[in-house]
Amino acid sequence: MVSVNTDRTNYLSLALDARKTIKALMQASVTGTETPELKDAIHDTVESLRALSSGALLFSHLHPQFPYQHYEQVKTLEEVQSAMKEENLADRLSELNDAVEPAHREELIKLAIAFFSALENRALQRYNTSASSASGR
Amino acid sequence: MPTLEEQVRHDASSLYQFVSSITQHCDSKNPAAAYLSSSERFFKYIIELGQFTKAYVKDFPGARTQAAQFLDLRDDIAMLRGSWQFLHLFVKPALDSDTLHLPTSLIQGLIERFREIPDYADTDFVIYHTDLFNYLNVQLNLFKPIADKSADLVKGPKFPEKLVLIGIPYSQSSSIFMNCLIPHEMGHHVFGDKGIGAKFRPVVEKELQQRFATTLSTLDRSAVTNILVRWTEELFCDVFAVRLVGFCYSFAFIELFDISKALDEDGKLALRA
Repeated sequence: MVSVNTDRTNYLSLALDARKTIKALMQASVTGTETPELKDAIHDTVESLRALSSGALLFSHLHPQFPYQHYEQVKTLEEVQSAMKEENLADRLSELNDAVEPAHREELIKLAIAFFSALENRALQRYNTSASSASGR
Repeated sequence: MPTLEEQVRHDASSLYQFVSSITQHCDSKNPAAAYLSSSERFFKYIIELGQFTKAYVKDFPGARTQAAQFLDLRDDIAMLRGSWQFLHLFVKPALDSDTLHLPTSLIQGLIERFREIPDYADTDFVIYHTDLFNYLNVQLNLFKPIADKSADLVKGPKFPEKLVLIGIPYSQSSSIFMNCLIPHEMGHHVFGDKGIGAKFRPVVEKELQQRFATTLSTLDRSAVTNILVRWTEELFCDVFAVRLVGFCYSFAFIELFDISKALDEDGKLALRA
């Protein structure tokens, strides 16, 4: 039935995705290689950030694990992007999937960890403070 | 001022206690109560995940020596706490829902009928009580990824495949027509499981972009898309329920929304201004 929303759960889901990506980034920093899952996570984030800036379609490349499917997730992404005040954030994150110099790569990983940590913290905070008695529909 | 290690040790102890407080309900449930096998699977999962979570935090500090490692563990603990708060919602309501407090025969009949649908022969449903006067489906395509990602953090068990949670009002276990809303909730599972929402979403968004290109921002479009897809889901579930149990499904609405108030003294639909 309508009336009970899944908003709160969407925040938790986003926070968990961000946590997973942070762990993969830390691992990539040690091993020097990105896993396919990490590349996909970066790609999805970059595409969503670009769509937010350009007005392009958000859901046209949707796949089942897409982390920004719901309004709460898209809104949190936009808020973190604005709060970071990092120009060309999407372009810089996308460089992680390119072959770059090790020093530059390390700098990009730090930026990505900072970004996903902010995303995780904000999503978890929203989850903890959202008033909802259930998580179903 | 406690050191970082001491602070994180406190966080770990606190999570351990929190998880124990949930799992002990499953461990020491009333031996006189009987549960559907689906509920027993759910309790077993909670106990196992609890064991892995407790083992993870008990292994403190493990090989951690650096501040960054303690801070990472602190983030893990915060995430696990959030995930267990999520699971917390369902444990007690499921424990309250023994076979004497559920429309067990009706549920078994509905599950049997549901299992006649191709691809769903081995799907099972945990029915739990909710204090809302409403019926709820906890979408497996949302619930399972959350449970599994939490389990990944502690290398714990995956949530059982094809085990779906449905909430019913605690007071309505003997109401035949009201419980005909359960098939609607089963429909939510099919909608999510078949990825129908994910198919609709890009189509709806594209249509909105074409019609409201100048008035809706990307974020607004995302909000409207979600609302429209949710209503599409509700309509799908209504049709699904009618196909599964027939027109008795509509009787549930008569009780739930007092639709009889719309009838005149001859029992005909009265359109009031």
